[in-house]
Amino acid sequence: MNALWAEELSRLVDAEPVDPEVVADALESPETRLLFVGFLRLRAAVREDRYGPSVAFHDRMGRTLQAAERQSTDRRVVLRLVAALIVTALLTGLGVESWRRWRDDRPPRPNRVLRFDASEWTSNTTRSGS
Amino acid sequence: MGQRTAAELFEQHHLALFRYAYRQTHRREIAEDVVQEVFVRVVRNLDAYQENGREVAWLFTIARRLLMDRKRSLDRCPTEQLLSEPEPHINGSQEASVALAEALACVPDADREAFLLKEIGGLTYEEIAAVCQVTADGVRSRIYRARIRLRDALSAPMKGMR
Repeated sequence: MNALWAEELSRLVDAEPVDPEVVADALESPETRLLFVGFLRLRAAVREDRYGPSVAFHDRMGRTLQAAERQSTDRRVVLRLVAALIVTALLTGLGVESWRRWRDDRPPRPNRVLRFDASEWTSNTTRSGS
Repeated sequence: MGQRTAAELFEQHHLALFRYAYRQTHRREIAEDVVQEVFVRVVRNLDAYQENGREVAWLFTIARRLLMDRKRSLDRCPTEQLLSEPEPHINGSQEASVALAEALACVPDADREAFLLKEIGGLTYEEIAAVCQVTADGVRSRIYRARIRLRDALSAPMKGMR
């Protein structure tokens, strides 16, 4: 049996790309045609397999999936809460820092006020030349 | 396509996963445990999964890893190995299924795995290559070798079925 032909027919059964010339040559041979039919019968035999899991398994899986989804949802909620807390803490820190900077950049509050009256600006000094 | 729930994935793929695991182990309870564990992991990681329309490859990758872990633990524990004899098929009408199981047992592990991923999982050569971490050419050869062996082993019963 030509291994190249047989392998190409195996690919054909799997709907994978094949060389049409090689397939044509392969199908010329009665032996390879029988092999091709054998591959198809094998596929039918595998797909006829009716073996499945037990009823108890389905019941168990229903409970398992529900529990796992609930657990997963809880975990997601916790993760989101943690993320929200982190963001809140960061924003609070940023706000506090901004406020501090704003406070530091302000001019200091006056603790005494000097008030000048207009009369204080009149000078009694006389020029030496006058 | 929106994000699918684990329950939807279970509905669609559990049978193929079970048959894949069962054909690898010949043990119903192991196959059921593997499928259950696959979907527990799916629930945990569904958010992180990058949906690309071929979740079947993802599911079979998880199943394959779990089966490998099982095999390793069986290899380490000879008493459990003794218990892992193929379970008898209760239904006498499943002669073809028994013949298929016996024929599959004669196929080397790597070839059988690629063959089952193709025939039961419906994965493409590229997907099988990714799952088994081999090249697509390697997959093609493995499937071909498995087919030749299986055809030879099953030719007599299949002729009888005609």
